[in-house]
Amino acid sequence: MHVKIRVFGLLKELLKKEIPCEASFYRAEPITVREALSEIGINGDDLLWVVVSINGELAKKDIFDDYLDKDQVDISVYPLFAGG
Amino acid sequence: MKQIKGYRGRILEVDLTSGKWKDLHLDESLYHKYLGGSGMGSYLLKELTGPGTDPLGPENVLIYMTGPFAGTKVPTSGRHQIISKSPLTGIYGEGDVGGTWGSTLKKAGYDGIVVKGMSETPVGIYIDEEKVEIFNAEELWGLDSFDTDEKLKEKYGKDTSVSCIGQSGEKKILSACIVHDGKNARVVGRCGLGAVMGSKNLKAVAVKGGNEVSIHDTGKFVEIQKRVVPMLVQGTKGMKAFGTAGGVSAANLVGDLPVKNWRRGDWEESALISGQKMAETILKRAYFCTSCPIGCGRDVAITEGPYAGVDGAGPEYETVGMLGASCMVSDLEAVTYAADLCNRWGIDTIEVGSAIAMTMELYEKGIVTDEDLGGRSLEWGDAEGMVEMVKQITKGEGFGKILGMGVKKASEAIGKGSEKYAIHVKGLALPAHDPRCYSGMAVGYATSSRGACHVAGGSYFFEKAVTLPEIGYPEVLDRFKTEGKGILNAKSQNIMSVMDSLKMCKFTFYGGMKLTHILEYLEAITGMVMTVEELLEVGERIYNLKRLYNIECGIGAKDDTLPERITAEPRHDVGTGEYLPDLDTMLEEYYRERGWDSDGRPEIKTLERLGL
Repeated sequence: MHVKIRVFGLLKELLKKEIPCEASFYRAEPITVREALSEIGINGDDLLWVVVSINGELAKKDIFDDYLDKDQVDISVYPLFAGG
Repeated sequence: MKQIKGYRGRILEVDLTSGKWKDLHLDESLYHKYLGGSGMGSYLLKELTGPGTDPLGPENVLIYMTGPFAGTKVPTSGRHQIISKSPLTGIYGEGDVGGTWGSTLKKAGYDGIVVKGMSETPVGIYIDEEKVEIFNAEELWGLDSFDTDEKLKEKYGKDTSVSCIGQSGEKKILSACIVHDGKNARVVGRCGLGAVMGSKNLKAVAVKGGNEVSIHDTGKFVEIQKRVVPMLVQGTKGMKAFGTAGGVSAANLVGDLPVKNWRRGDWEESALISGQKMAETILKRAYFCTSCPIGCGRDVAITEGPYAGVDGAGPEYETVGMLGASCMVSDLEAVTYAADLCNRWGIDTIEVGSAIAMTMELYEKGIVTDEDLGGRSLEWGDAEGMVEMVKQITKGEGFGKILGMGVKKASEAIGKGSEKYAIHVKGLALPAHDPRCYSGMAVGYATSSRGACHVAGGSYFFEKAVTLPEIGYPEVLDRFKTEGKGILNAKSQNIMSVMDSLKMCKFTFYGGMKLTHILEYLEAITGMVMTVEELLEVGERIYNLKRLYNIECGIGAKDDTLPERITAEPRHDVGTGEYLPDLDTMLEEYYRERGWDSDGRPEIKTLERLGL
């Protein structure tokens, strides 16, 4: 499985950590969204501050423990802001 | 005046006492000095009212103002400002709102409306490209805001935009708000401006228009749009997915939520009232204001259970923060139902949520009893009790009649030491961001022109994620640091004053908008060429003008303060530990940066520099 992750917006500023804007890697076995994001340093409580889209489809619920099981997966990661 | 592109160059003045109206043509220099929206509105309010003005008397005015971008496709420009002397606080009052109304007024041919006087019977105002009329609104009186919107759309057409009050405004309840766009409920929530509208016997202002707004440089505008709009769309997709309440769990993590009337900063049930929970359960779709690429609004429906029948705007972060977290009510459908009641009847969810949370604490302490509450209890987390209190407040009945006066006045009426539990600044309840989490909010709330306001300066943006290298903030600021927060708030209030005057949504900053983008839009739409420094000086002028208004109303340094709970009671939570904001140090720095004296009065040289 080829996974490509792209990070958008002010996520680095929000999480206050260095995150690559774009990363790609290969896994022989299916992995979860959580595991994929961990590859670029987004982990633990960071997940409270992000929204993801998988292959162009914006997640409408918590999907971090869902398995990625396609040959090619594009993950986009967006910041999530509290309040107005 | 010479016609500046982007503006219509005329403001409608309606006198409800005489039933007459006329066009006002303000000097061109005022558009340069105040831009529009909040800036122009504050100028007009200061010209037309003062310390002797009774907020609910005919001498008060209600001002609707758009900005130069309204009616164009500048992102998030479909907004307007409503300005008046507040009956809730007795000082400067205003509110910012999105939806369709502002851009529609502009397309009908006006930059704004000044409503004066008081009608003897219920009336409405209708404006389109051809005519203005004051119509009899007796048949609308008694209807909620959603039904009023529907009736006026039946009368004038589906493309009519309606600004109106519900029954709470008719009853002149001091927390009453002004609702736009019917069940989509875009609300000027704060300062009790719905009561001002009710005092004038003005039920609604309906507008319809399709005239395009002429802009200065179309080619330049298109070029900017190609760069900025995709950036905003990408940067704010999280808000589209889960709305402003999408960050509730994150807010809980860092200690931003006002749990249990601001006694706790975290709560194990917070995820149950989050935008994610909303998306899993009651969300139908995202709602977009006119010209908005963000789509943070929620369109929800509850189809079964005790709260069935809700079909419209879903609750925002502030609403779930106040009616949910502050009351410890984790039933999202109950919170949504209560918010829907507030929207229909037209009352501020922040003030109402704060008043109910205060009452829960007073009940816990035995200051308020079952007898006071009409024979019922009101424990923390009591969803049914919270909804019942909302009903009483909106209708001005039972104990709700007291709470509708807002937390400050309600606590004074209840007495017995209850003032200590009323969490407000200058009579306006704190919204759902805690200065013990983002320290800059301490001086922000203390010095906001309308009382405790999170968007007048929005300094927490810059303590969370937003950078503005153009004014010396290349990195996100330490949220617990004291030094620099006074300066930050003076600058951020100037910036937000500009946003409220151009009428752009502050969420564009979350999407990566910079001040240089705003200046590019200003030039492309109006032809005005400004530097960042000149733009911020406009914001500074506006902020000082509001301060002068408030000083005339008796406000000074003694009022630039915070509830003791915020400055003296640590919450011992994971996100903030023992932290308490050092307001005095921040205030000293703030006054110095503003050029105000130790009593919080602008110095003469400051006023001269700003042309005030």
